[in-house]
Amino acid sequence: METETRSNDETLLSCRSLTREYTRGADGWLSRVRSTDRPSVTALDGVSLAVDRGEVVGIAGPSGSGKSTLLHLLAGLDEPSDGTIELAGTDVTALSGRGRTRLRLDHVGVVFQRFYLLPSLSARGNVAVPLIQRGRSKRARRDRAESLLETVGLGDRAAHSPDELSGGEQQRVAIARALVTDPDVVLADEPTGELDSATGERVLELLTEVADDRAVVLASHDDRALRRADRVLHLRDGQIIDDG
Amino acid sequence: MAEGSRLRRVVGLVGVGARSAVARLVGGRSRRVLVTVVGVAVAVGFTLAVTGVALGLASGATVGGEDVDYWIVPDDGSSTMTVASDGLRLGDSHATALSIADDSRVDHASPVLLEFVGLENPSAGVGEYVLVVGVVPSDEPFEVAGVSTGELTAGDPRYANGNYGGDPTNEVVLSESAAGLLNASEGTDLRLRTRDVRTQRVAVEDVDGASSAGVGSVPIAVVHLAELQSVTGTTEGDHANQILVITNDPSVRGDLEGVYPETNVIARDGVGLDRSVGDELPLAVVVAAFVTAVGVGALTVATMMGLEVTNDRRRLALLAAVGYTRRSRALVVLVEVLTVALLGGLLGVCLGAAGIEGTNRIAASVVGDAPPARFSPVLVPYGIGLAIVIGVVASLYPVYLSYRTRPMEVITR
Repeated sequence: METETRSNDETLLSCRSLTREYTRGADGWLSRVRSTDRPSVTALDGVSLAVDRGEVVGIAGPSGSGKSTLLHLLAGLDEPSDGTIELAGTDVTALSGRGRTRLRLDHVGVVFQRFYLLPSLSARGNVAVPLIQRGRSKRARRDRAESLLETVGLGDRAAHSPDELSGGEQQRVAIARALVTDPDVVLADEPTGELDSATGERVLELLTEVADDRAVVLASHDDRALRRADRVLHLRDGQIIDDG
Repeated sequence: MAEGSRLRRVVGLVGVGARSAVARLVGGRSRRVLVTVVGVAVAVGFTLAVTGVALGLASGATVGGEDVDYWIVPDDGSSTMTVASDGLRLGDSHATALSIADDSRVDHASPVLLEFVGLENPSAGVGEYVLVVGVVPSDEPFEVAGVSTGELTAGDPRYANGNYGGDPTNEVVLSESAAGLLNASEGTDLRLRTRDVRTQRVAVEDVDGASSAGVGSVPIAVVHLAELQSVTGTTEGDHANQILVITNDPSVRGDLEGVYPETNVIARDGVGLDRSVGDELPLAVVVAAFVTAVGVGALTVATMMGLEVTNDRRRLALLAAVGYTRRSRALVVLVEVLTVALLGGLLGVCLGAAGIEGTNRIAASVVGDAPPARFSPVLVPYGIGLAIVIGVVASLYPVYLSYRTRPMEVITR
């Protein structure tokens, strides 16, 4: 089932007829040379959606329904087999890998279930990582990172290494990192997946707070998370079965 | 958000890479990094120790405390005494040797004339051709062809400032093999005979062992130069085959090379100054050690850091996810490898210094007190530079792996 795309001037992120097929065994050089047909798996099948500024959209569905695939495509981390993605007025599918990376740096903040903090850096250093790629001065990076750590309630933990932080604190650091470039879109993939309920509530509160002037897409099978969304899209077998 | 500067980005990426490498090492997060540092250190340390020996070879410091006698020989391919009894000869040899000996760095200089001459022992009724070596002995005995001149009168009285009118000493020192052939011992009267049947009576002053390399068991008789010249008819022109320069200062060598045209200056013996193998030996040793260290070190670093990159692809995936380009990620990996190599280089310099010291101590206990290796301050930047070369060569593989890492493959796991 393909849902209708609601697009207007406030739309920051949209996709149309998004399809992603994976071909089994297609990664090896030998399999690329061989011309035999290989079985393929459709992870996403003709998905369309639009997310407006200030909107929190939840993506619900069981494991394997295509939630993460959709998020990765929207972030430009993967390429669709078919369909288009528009992010902040740019056709993502027309960009090269380098162009998508650049677009991510400028417009997208990503939050993962497993935080992915760099153990060699402090909380402050982790938040500031994207600013290095932007060529920001050390002082500017430090000020911006500390300001965001204050925002997420970790002002006093800036110098701590990830090993010294709890899971909830690490996820808040990851959220601060996602916001450090002031992105238009925040994509969160199971952000509460490894947190207890109280900590998860705090993280979700943070994510919905940041949606004031940006679009937030939240993939989760946690009902608490989905209840905070303005609307929830239900995925099953790579298709949207309900656009609520 | 406005664009920052490229330089700041590069500096920031270098910082991320360097911190990551140090944290893995110091924080004990990766034993592979520790092994890599040790691997580079061993390669650099080994190279510096070998280079220290090569420096010792090149500078001559290895035999600084010993005699480093030189031979001036005609440039006709001859390099040992046994093959130099014929061929080109050096003229005006007494005066030349005297002028060489005037140098304060030279203990003594003696022309050396080599002739196969018949020696007879009339009392025993035996006669044999032996290699007779004519020299100008000094107060300090020295060995020529393995035979000591200690029992010969110092100087060359027969020469008499070139008129050969002085009294001969009629002294001869025989090698053991010559004494055996002639059935002679100390005090035996012998006769020197040449093809024109001129003879000269000589008395055996000593029988000495002839163990010098290059002459083997050839029967040797050592006499005063002018007396041999008189017998063999080489007084005109004051010919000699070679000039032996006894010194313990290797710096003399350069001056000796200009004494006669078309001559070679070769060291008596010893690995440190055996120029018969060429001046290129120390350089060849250094180059061989360098190439070996780069090869072995780079393979070690490439393998270990390649495994490290493969094992830590999540970090690269994260960097990609937050907007780091492939080039930026590659720079982080490059800096990591270089940092590890640099740390290994610093440790390697210490190992190299210890290796040189250890080599010298072992050499002192085994072969004497001459230090075969030398530590120079130049070895510090050399070792660090070598480590960087190892790092640059080795980084190709980890950087290639970082290029190949696809964020999706890692993040979705």
